[in-house]
Amino acid sequence: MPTRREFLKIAGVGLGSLLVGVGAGYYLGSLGSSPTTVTTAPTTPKPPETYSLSILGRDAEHHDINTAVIDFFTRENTNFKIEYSPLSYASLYDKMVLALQQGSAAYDLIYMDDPWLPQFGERGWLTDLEALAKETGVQLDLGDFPGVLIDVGRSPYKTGKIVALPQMGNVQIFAYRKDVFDKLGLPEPATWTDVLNACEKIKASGLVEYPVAFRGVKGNPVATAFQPILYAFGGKILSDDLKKSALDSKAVEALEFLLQLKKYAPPGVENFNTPDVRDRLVGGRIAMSTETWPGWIKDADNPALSKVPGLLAYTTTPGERTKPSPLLGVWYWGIPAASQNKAAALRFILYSISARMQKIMAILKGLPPVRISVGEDKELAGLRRWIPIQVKSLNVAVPRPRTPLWPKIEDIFGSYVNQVLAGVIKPGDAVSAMSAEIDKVLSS
Amino acid sequence: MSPWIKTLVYIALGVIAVWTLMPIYWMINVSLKVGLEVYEVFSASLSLDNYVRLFRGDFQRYLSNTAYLAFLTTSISLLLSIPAAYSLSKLPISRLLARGLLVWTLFSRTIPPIVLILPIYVMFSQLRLSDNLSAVAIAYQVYTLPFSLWMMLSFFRSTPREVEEAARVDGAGPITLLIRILLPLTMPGITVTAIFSILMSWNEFLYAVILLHSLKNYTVPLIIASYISEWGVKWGEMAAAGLISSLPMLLFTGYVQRHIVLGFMKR
Amino acid sequence: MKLLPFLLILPALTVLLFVTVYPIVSVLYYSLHSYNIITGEFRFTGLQEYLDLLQDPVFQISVRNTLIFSLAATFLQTFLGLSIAVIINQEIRGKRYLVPLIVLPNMFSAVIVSSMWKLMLEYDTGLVNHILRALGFQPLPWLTSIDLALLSIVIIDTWQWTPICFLILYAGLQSIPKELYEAALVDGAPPYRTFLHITLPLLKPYITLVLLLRSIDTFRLFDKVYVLTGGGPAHATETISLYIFKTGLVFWDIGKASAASFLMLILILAVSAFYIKKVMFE
Repeated sequence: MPTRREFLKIAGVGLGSLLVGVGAGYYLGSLGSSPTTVTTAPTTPKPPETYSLSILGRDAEHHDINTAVIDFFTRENTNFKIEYSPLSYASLYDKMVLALQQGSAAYDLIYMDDPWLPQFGERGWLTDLEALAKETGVQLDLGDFPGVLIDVGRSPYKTGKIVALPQMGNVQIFAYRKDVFDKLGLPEPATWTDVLNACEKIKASGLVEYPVAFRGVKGNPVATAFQPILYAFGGKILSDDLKKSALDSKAVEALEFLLQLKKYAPPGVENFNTPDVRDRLVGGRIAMSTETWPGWIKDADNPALSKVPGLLAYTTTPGERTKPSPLLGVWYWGIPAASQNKAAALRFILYSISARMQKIMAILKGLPPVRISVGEDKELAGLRRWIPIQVKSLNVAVPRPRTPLWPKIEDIFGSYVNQVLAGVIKPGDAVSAMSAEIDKVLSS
Repeated sequence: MSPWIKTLVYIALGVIAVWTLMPIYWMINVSLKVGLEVYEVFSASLSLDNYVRLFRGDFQRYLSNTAYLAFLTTSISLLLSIPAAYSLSKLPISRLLARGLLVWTLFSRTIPPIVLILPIYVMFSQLRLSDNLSAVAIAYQVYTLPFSLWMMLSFFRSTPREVEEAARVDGAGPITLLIRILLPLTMPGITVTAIFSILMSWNEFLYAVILLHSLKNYTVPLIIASYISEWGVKWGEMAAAGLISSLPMLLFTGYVQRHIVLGFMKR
Repeated sequence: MKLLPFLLILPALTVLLFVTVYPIVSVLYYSLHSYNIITGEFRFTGLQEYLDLLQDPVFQISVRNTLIFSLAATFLQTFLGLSIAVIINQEIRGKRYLVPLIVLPNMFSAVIVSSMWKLMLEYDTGLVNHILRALGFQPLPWLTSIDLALLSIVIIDTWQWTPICFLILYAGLQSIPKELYEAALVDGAPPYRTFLHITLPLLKPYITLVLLLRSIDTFRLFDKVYVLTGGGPAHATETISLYIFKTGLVFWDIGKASAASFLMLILILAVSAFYIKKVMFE
């Protein structure tokens, strides 16, 4: 019989070596499964009967939606095997860039946010989908998509070859409380001045805690929330040739308007992010959300998850000097130039963006569709009330400036707009400071 | 103690208890609420939905990733630090080398982890080691190796000399001495060291968020952070995840209570 | 046989070199270059990155915030830890259950702690403002105002880390021989004098250790600002760690991030030296 001490010793050594063994095994296993370049012989006599596709995409709701599409697809095409690797937003971009840069054939399909497209396209990392369609004898019918979505999918923007096709039609819309507006006899806001007037009346009425809210936290959120206001006031961030800053007195005016709006927003709006605005909108604590993303309101009519079922109404973001200019945030499919399964990948893309699939996904998972015909579908409009406005907004939407330097510029822009909101810098000073910094980034 | 002071002491204890427990009570409270109820301070509804949803959403996978990473990190640290601490405390070794190594381990303890991560990140991506749990265990040695070395050093130093001498008289070599005599003698110390290393890697966030990318490799702190997204925040699931994942740590620290101070002093 | 002692430390030494010395040397090397992983740019620029960095107002604010946070959190936590230790050290019942209870906050990851506090610090709906209103005070915009954001993070960090300060100081108090107090009692010294002349001097090594450990840890503040504020509002909660993270791992400017890393290392050196001296030679 071993003594207790001996037993402990044996157990300790045993456990230790077991752990190391497991570790080594796991490590070797992961080496084996790590992506390596697959080379298929160019003169394969027969095409393989089964296809396996590997997709690099987003986590969270994107993951749910895309894996549901994959389920449908593989049920109808049993000779396909599809693997979907979900990553968080930041990791996805990093990993994608590293894979594309190395010319890795690990992924046959990638799921991209639209601001990444200029960089990916410019570097020649993506497959020309028109040519691929022609090669494989597939019809590429793009008449049912809002023009701007196809333009953004071209590299260079508007004029080049199609390198990406839209899957998820994210776009900003304007949400407001129909019951409050009706009670006060307010019209649906068409301009930002209308919004400000409504704010005043709603505040005086005391019907809702706060008239309005928007995302104010520095970086991408406030930059995104402010852009439709800036554009409606006739302002621009970059010149048309994307070579220098185009922020001018109109931007100052738009920033001053933002400060007006802040007076009617909950305290601390300068640190508001998505949940702060989204939960207040669906929780019935605000009457208007100046920029609302389809994902925020997919449960707004569900009485179990919302305090305002049936009470929200939607419209395009207001105009002012110019037409309404909601910001586009569309997710695209693309095929890496190094993929070895391009034809099969294209088949999957076309299935995923088909009208039938877009409608099914909109019903099941609240996916914002990218097709005009789906936006006009009566049955769908009854189930997901915001979809007609969302697809209509896609038609007038503005993409973020098409430069690979956009992330850096957005950071500068978002930092200064936040500082204006926080009251530490005046709109005029902010505009000249950010112009100078943006010019510096563009000239280096 | 005068009754006056006694009353004051108990009032102070009450304040300390409320201050300490309020956020934890709040976490339990939030984990039992659904949807927008988290914003209501007083709401009567209690539901286990969040816990159910957590485990339907593959939470066991993230728990086991975290446990795997913690155990691997700890095993590596112990396997490296035990022989080293033994050599430094019991064997004739160059004083300069010993001093140098000890000073450097103390210095490593003070380096902000963000300072070291950029080169590690660059190297891991070149070696295709990023997004690999086992590789992260190597990076975690930044935290656990200096700690384990100092802990083991103090345990070895506190073993009685007579035991070693008796063993030497019996003709035991240095390795036999370590395995047969010292390891059994310091087993409680090794357990404490192991538990603290596990605790350190269990809640680590910075290196994990930088080095791990795919959902299938996420640890618990990463999955909790991912509940905050552009679609909203899953408050309830977050609170439930926080509570469940800290249970093993509570049990562990309950177990090492007597040595807990030493552990925190060295970490 | 002479090699054995060396062979036994070799594995630990190798790993330690790999995870600390190699990165420090690389950081110094990168910092002398303009280096961007995404564009693949890599060229020698000498001290340019350092010059750019020192002129970057955001970096200056990050350094200032980090120092303010580190000082405030360290002293507050040590002070509270000492107070709690003194209270618990009185003759009271149920001590055995109190100590593990007080340590609870440290068992949760910073991510979950931050998120729960965010809910409690919400302006309209949070528990803290509810209590303030109930007591007749004005609610405060905790995490959302420039003046309070950093303070709020100090409070959250204090909730999480005071327990550890308490633990160490409590151990220190218990190591003081009871006879000393009894002697003081016989001399008729009032309690505050006993505290000043017996407790504090004997506790000094423990207090120093706590101050050192907390300043080292608070200096690296990252998780809480990453989850709660992202450095805002304006730049009120930018820290050096967050600055390096954003510059290096979001915008891929490895050269500049390395320069910031190296400066951060230099900033901590004084504390490091003090800490090494204390642990090594006392």
